[in-house]
Amino acid sequence: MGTLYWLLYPLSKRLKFELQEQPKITQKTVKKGSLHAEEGMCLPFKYVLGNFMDALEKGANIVLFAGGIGPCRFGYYSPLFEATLKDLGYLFRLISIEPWFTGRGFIDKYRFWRSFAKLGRVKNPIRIAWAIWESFYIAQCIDEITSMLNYTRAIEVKKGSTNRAYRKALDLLANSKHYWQAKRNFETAKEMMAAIKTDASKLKGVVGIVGEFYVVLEPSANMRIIEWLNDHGIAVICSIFVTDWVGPDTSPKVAHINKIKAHELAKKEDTFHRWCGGDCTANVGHAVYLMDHLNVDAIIQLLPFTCMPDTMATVGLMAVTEKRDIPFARYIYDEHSALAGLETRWEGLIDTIEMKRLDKELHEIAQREAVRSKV
Amino acid sequence: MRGYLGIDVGSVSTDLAVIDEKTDKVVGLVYIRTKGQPVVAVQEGLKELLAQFPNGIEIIGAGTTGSARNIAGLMINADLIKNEITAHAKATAFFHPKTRTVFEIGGQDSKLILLENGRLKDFAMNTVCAAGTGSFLDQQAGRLGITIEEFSNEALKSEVKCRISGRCAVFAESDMIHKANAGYRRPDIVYGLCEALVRNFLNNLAKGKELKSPIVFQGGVAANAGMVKAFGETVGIEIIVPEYHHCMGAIGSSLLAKLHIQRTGLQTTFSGFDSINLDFSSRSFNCDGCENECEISTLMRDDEVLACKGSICKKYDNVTGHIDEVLQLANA
Repeated sequence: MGTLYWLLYPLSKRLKFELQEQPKITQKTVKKGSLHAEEGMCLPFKYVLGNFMDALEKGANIVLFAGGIGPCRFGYYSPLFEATLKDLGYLFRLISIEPWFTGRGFIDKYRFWRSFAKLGRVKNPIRIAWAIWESFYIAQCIDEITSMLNYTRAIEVKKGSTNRAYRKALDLLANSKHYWQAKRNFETAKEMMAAIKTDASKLKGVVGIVGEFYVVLEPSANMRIIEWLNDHGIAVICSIFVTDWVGPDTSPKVAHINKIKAHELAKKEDTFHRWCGGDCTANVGHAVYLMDHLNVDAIIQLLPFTCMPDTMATVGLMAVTEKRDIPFARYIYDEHSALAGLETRWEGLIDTIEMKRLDKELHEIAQREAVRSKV
Repeated sequence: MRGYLGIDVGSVSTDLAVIDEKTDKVVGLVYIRTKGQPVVAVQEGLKELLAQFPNGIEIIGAGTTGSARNIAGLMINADLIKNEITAHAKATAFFHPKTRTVFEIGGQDSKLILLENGRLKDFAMNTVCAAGTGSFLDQQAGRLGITIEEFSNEALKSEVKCRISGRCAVFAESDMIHKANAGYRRPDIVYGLCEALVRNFLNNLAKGKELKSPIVFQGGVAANAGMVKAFGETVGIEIIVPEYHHCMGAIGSSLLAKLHIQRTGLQTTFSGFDSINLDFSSRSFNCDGCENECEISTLMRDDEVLACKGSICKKYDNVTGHIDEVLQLANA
């Protein structure tokens, strides 16, 4: 999923376990995954299942997956993966990393430590904690760079230059030996991204993307919408990144505000009066933040078909975008999504943004004329 | 005579329109069925269009739209390739400048477009379901043994309400069979279907959106008087059906082409009506380069590939040349 690999890569170096390179998600992966998953299951489950099968066929023997007490059925996915894959005859061990703040005190912390101790040869809790913290920091830097990529790629002068610089920066950061080196590398990486030749007049607009985290983060699941928008001169600001999702609610976020703040913002709107469906209110809050503080021209919601929290969020998003008169579009993905139909809708959204900008300019000109005529 | 050409190649129909350079009046109009062959349809359409101008016509700007806009645009070297949402909005704003809401139901998709001061403000397009579009009506008319033209008259004869589920095309069909077996008259069933489609449209697309008057209903399905009546009754506002409701995409496209030419001051790239006689063909193949197995579609003139589309890795983006060379690339 997205840059998740780059969180585990430094961790594997520190905890001394062998990390298999993530198999690319292709059409075959999706086919495999949807064949063995329940039909009404959400898209991420099918993608991840197919991906696990690919990895196991390539020789992996441990499957690492996140547990959780989150908003949807996600917490139940790791036992489901285990059962499905065992039924298919794969030999492996599944390690599910459960969060350490579920409210059971010491037991939580112990289970959290144990799942990491099982992974590699390092057992010392302090060393493990330090390794996790360092890897998390590196991954956060990578997410910062990714958020720069989503913006800079829209205005690059030479096509492909941002992608090249991004890959170099990624390599540099992921191979940092320790925290201080990572800190230095982060500065270098930022400079590399800033050094890309850009042309601000190319920018047609800025859109904010909210929605279900897997579809937002994994390019092959969302039909590469971010790259496509960038190619058409639209900069993108995402409301979630890998570390935002993996990390505890209170840690600093790449997407500026954390879940708790987002909930508060959503509650101030007249749409939801109490916490509702996990990421549902958070998405509304993120959209409010994007519109009020980052002045985006449109809000896009991406969700997999049958995603309950996000289906509920749609209603709230419609209300908050309507109030501020900002175009809102949502795109629903399932394993049958074809690019041709989506492209038409994306183009339509770009036109809506352009027309609105034009209207604004005309309005400003008219106002200036009115002032002049009065004088 | 000089004019601007617009071509809308949709899933079911292909329409071409020519507007006069100065008056913006529609002077040439062609409406034919695509029959799954966009290349042939465009050539046929151009042939018919040419026949409408015995004194000849000079095209000074051309635009394409519709689901096969890229292929059509390549064939005639169009100045502007735009999506159908913008094209429809433009055409509606031209004929009915005060319009606030547009219902558009075509062969395989339905759109709701909201306008403000003649500009595109917001839109919604059917996402996960194609029930309630032209193809479905066509198919059901065929099943009932009436032509789509008779369908319209039949619906107006209805006297009794007959509720049919519009959530899904399959359920709608089984509902219709059930109602027929239960003894309902055919006009009532046909009108019930129209109402179901309207309900489906409003539930899917208009959710949370305010439908402001005046409302314009266009697209191929707007020719169906039963649908117009059902829309009017459900929404409670009078529905306007424009004169050229079936060709609004093409007209919008020509208007956009005109705007584009006027704004940039460029000469048109339109390759003339020569493309009628050239041997265009489209072909698609599966790339074996990686496990993605992208479906690549190509447009060819004779055996020469003009453009490829559809690869994720962008390997084929600027590839031209003989078809065999391109196919070799696929096996690499």
